[in-house]
This record gives sequence, structure tokens and C-alpha cells, in this order.
Amino acid sequence: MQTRVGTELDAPGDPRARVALAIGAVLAAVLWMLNEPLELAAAWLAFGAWTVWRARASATPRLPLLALVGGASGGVVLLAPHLPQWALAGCLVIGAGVAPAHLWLESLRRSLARDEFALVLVAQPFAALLHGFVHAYPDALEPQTLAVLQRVFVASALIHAGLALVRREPERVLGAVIQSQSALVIAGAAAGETGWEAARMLLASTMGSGLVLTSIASELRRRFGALDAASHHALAEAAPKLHRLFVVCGWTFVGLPGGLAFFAEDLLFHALVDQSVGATVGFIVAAGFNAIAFYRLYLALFTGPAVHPPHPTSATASWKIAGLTLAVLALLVLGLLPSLLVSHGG
Amino acid sequence: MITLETLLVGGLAAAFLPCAAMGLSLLLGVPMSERRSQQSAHAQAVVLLVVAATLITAHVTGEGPRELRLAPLIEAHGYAWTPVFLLDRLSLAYVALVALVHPVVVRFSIPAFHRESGAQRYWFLVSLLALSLWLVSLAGNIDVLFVGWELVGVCSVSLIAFFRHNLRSTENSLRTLVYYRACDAVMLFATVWIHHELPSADFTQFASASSSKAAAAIGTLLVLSSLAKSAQLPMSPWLHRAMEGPATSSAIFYGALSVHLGPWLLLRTEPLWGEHLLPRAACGAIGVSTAVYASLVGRTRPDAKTAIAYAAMAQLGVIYVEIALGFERLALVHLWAHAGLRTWQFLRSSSLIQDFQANPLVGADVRLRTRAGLWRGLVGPELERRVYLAAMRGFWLDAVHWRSVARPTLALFAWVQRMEERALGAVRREER
Repeated sequence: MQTRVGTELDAPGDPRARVALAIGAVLAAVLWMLNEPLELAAAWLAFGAWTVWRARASATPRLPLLALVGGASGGVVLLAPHLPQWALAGCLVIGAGVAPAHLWLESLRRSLARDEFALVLVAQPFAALLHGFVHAYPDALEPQTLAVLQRVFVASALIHAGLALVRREPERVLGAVIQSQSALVIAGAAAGETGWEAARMLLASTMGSGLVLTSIASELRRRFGALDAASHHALAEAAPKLHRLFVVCGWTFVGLPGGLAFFAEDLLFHALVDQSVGATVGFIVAAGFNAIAFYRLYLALFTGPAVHPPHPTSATASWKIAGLTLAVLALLVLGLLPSLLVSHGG
Repeated sequence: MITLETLLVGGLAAAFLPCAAMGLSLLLGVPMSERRSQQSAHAQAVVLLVVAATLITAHVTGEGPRELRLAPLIEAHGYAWTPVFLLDRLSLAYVALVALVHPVVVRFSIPAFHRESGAQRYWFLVSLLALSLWLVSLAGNIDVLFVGWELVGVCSVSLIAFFRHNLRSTENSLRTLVYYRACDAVMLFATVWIHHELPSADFTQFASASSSKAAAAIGTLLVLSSLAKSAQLPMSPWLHRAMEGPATSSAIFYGALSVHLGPWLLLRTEPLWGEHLLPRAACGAIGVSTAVYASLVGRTRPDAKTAIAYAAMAQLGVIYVEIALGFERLALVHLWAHAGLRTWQFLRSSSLIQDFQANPLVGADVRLRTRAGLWRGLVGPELERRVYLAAMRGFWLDAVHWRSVARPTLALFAWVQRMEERALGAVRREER
């Protein structure tokens, strides 16, 4: 069933929406810069407040109750690290938006404008929260709790990857793939030193590729209207530059050799297999589903019979194309020289 | 003095540069002229042929097997991704095959893609395929092999969808990807397991690791992971769908090089699992059943390309049986001869009727003779009719896959999505 999303704020050129988006981006960046638990908690709550503000400002204004629960859970983790293990794990699972506790994220998606929700996904605030938590309290989670969390995150990655196969709206397909990759990042981060290195690489790949792919999906919607992954739109000729960037970035995102995600996933598999064979199998299946979901979306958007070629309402600005191209080139260079992102630990 | 290392790295760089140039030009939206694309692909084919000839000469004149180890691309906390290459009889046999078939396909493609829309995309993918095949052939460890293996798969599905306005091409391309990813997942697991269980992932160390407890299981996984590329049962139904791509790419992928990667992987890793019964039995059983299946189905196909595809599948099944029985050298010779024959057949498939009419050796009155007499005598007309109808439908393999795997998987996640919608619907009502 297709659901309505609060997208009326997507009106292109709305200066208030742009300012709001910029504020959100700054708050997300701040979240990544802080390490102290109190500061991080404040930044997390500020980012949460921003999402509530934007949800209230949407076309169907309502309080995102579930999102408040999710945000509060993240804050609790940072402010009360000495809670019992089950409570900490529960708060982390909810705060990170892991399936089935991801419903608060899905609820938020329905309240926010598309670009704003894309920012929430691409900026990976959940990874920042977990990173900050583990950095501040390295011994707060016992190994058994970490092992359970790892399996939960892999299961979540599998569920999101599966959801990407059945979703029809391009942004939702991409959102599910990004959430799946994020869950894999966090699962990897729980797998010791090697896992941290792998998670860092996969995180860079997820953020970079997520930004490019969601920007392209958003641009296609602006130019060609609502698109559906269950039919073919044959946009390769109508939007050739976006087509090229989408296909290259997408393949590298889902782990094709030559992209950063390939080495990150490889490293992550090796880190995970030491801890759990089941989690490794889940990881591999999720990565396979993600590749199929991406290719299905690519074929739907850019191929098919051009019986009624779409007429674009406007061209894509050249600065946008240049920015996206630079991002894709950076991902390719990092894919060929992955050691730039890895510390040579002994 | 040019060392083997320099030659090998130079060869790989020569294979990489045309790909990189064409790929960058496509990405940046600065298309090359048709002539420039052709020249790049042509130059790549010639350089690779010369490098292959030199490597083979060095090997034959006494260099012997050589393992070349480059600097690790990535090192972290005990993990290292090291490019290792192996020059031995097996790797050079496949390199020679690639080096000989690739220029032929390039030559045939030049007139076929003259003024064709998307020609540069074709040349890029064929050049990338050549690079990928070199990586697979010369791989000295399972990691390098996996890189080439993945790239071959992506080139293959991209070329099946080459005519992107054709809906059937794109749908078949997606189906092929699903089969490839299923087997690649198995291979990835085998790769990780090799790293985890064996002292080394280098092929030169496989023989000494054959007594490991995990060797039989890893070998079986490797057999399973080879099935999609070689269209062996139960991963066969994609092959006839792949014929949607251009005839020249069908020749290089499904006649010559890509489909033979399965047996090649088994030959390469055989020292690890060769002593164990389980992988051998799996390999033999799969080979026999595919040979029978493809032989029966291929006889019911009305078009040349699909009939050749099924014939290739049947022969590949026979090669699997040869490997299972321990006739590795015979399998390698069979692989070589078969690749040559199928390349020629695929390349000539577009002009088959003309060949029959104009070839003085064949003559205009040639008729396909029926040799069903013995078969009919053995099984009787009723059973023959039933088998024929079943073969016409490909023994319902597509339907079995759809009903037993694809539909339940999609139904499960569609159910998850419905639950999500339902839960959020309830929450929204409460919020109101």
C-alpha cells in the first residue's frame, strides 16, 4: 500500500524550507563532532527537537510521538550509562531505529519533507549516537550484550533489505537500503577493532552514496513527478547525467569491486565471522538483497520502452551535477585506495 | 631486463587504462567518438594478446609456476587484502583462451556496433570484462578471484540489458542478477570461511590444507557457487534469457569465457577439495543432471542462439562430470575446445540461414536429420511425447523457482510491510 508523506513542504525554492534543511544539516554535523557525553546528548536532543519542529511544520501537522520515544531513548543511553544491560540494549535498539523498533523512523518519514527525512537517513545520527556512547563508556556494554545487539542489528539489516525489494516509491526503496547498510555498519562496529575500521569505511560509503542516490531520486521527482519502482520510466535518455551517476554510485554502494563498500563489507565479514557464523550469513544475504533492490530500482527508473517519453519540467542545475560527480569520483578513488580510511593497527 | 612482475602489472595496467578512460568519459558525459572507443578496445585486445604470449613463453621456457605478491591494498588489525597472482599452467591456459577469443569478439563487434546507440557503453563493458577475466585467470588467492568474478557478473547483467528500451531485456537482466547474487553469496561465504579456517587463502597453499576438517564443506560451497556462472542445475533458467543481449556479447559471455568460469573455479580449487567425496559427488550429480536436462530442453528450442545456449549448458555439464571423476586435464582440454566452438557458433548465429544456403561445403539441400529412432524404440511414443512437452516448458524450472523461493520471500517482506503500515495506521489514529 502506498502511503502519503508530508511532502507538501517540498515546494522547490521555498527559502524557509531551505533554511530549515540547512539548520538540520548543521545540527547533524555538530552531532558528529562531539565526543563528550553531555555535549553529545545535548546535540542529539537538539537534532531531535529539529525533527519535531519540522514535523509540526508539515502539511499534516502532528506530534511525532514515536519519534519522541526514539529520540528520548537515545538521550537516556547517553545520560544514564549505568542502567541495567537489558535497559541499555533496549534504549540503543530503539534509539538506533532497528527493526521492529524502526517504526518511529517510519513515522517520522511520514511527517517530514522528503529532503529532511533524507537528511536524517544520510547523516546517520544513530551511528553518531552509538559511536559517541561507546567512545565515552567503552565498558558500559558487556560482551554478551554486544553479541546480542550485533545479531539484532544484522536481523534488522536483513528486514530492511527485504523491505527494499517490495517497496515501490524510489525514495523508500533507497531509504530501506540505506537503513539496511546502517544496521550493518552498527553490527560491524560491535565486532572489535577490525569491525570498527570496517564500520568507518562502510559508514563513509553509506553517507556518500546515500547522499548521491537520494539527491538523484529527489531531483528525478522534481523533474518528472512521482515515479514508481513497479513500472518502467525509461529516463536514461531524458536525464542522462543523473542516469550515469545513479548507476555508478549505486553499484559501488552495494559492494561492487572498485567502490569503497566492497572493501568495507569484506573487512566486516571477516570481523563478524569470528563472532557469529549466523550473523555473517545474515549479513551476506542482506548485502545480496540490497544489490538486487538497487538494480531493480535502477531498471525501473532508467530503462523500459520509451513509448511516452517524459517531458522534464526543468533541467538539473550544473552545480548539482558537478557536486554529485565529485562525490562519486571521491567514492571511486577511495574504493581504489581504501587504505586512506584505515588505520594500520597491529 | 623486464621481469615477470613488471610484465604482469603492465598487462593489467594495459587492461585497466582503456576501461578507466572509457568509464570516466561516460561518467563525466564527455563521450568518445566511435572510432576512439573501437581503437581503445582494439589496443587493449592486442596488448593483452602480446602480454599473454610473453607470459606463456616465459612459463614454457623454464620459469615454471610463479606466485607474484603485490603490496596489500588494505591492512588492519591482522587483516590484509593482498593482490596475489599465480602464473601456472592452469592460469595461463585460461589467459590464452581469453587473449585469443577477446580480439575475435572485438573484431566482430566493430561492424555490429557501427553507429549503434550506446556503442561506447558496449565497448566499455567488453573492455571491463577482459580486465575482469584476466583478474580471475591470474588470481593467486580467493580474494582477487572474487573481485574478477563479481565484475564479470556485473558486465554480464549490464550487457543483457544493453537494449534498454526492450522490456524483456531488462527483466531478464534482473533475473540473471538474482541467480548471480545467490551464488555469489555462497562464494563470499566460502571466501570468508577459507580465511577463517585455512592457514592461507593462496591457491598454492590449498593442497596442503586439503586435510583440514572444513575442506569438504568449503569445496561443496565452491561447487555451489560456480553454478550460476555456468548455468548448471538448479541455477540454469537464466541462460536462455541472457540471449536478449547482442550476439557478440553472447558469444564472449555465454559461448566462450564467462560460462566456463564455473569449471575453471573448480579446477583451480580442486587441490583443496579433490580428496573429499562430498564435493566430487555434488559436482558429478549436478553435471549429469544438467547435461540430460539441457540436452532435452535444447532439442525443443526453435531459435539458433537459444539452442546453442542449451547445447553449451549440456557440454558444461559433461565438463563438471569430468572434473568430478578426476580427469582435470581432459576437462581443461574440453573447456578450451568447447569455448572455441561456441564462440564461432554464436558469432555466426545471426547468419545461420545464409551459411546453410551459401556454403558450398554444406550445400543448399541440407536437412537436419532426425535420429529419434532408437530413442523412440526405447521409451515409446507416449513417453516421448510427454518428455517433449516437459522439455518444451523447461521442466517447469522457472515456475518451481518462483513458487518455492521468490514468491515466498517477496510475500514474507510484503507481509512485514503490511504489518508496518497497520501498526503505523493505529498509531496515527491514536495521535488524532
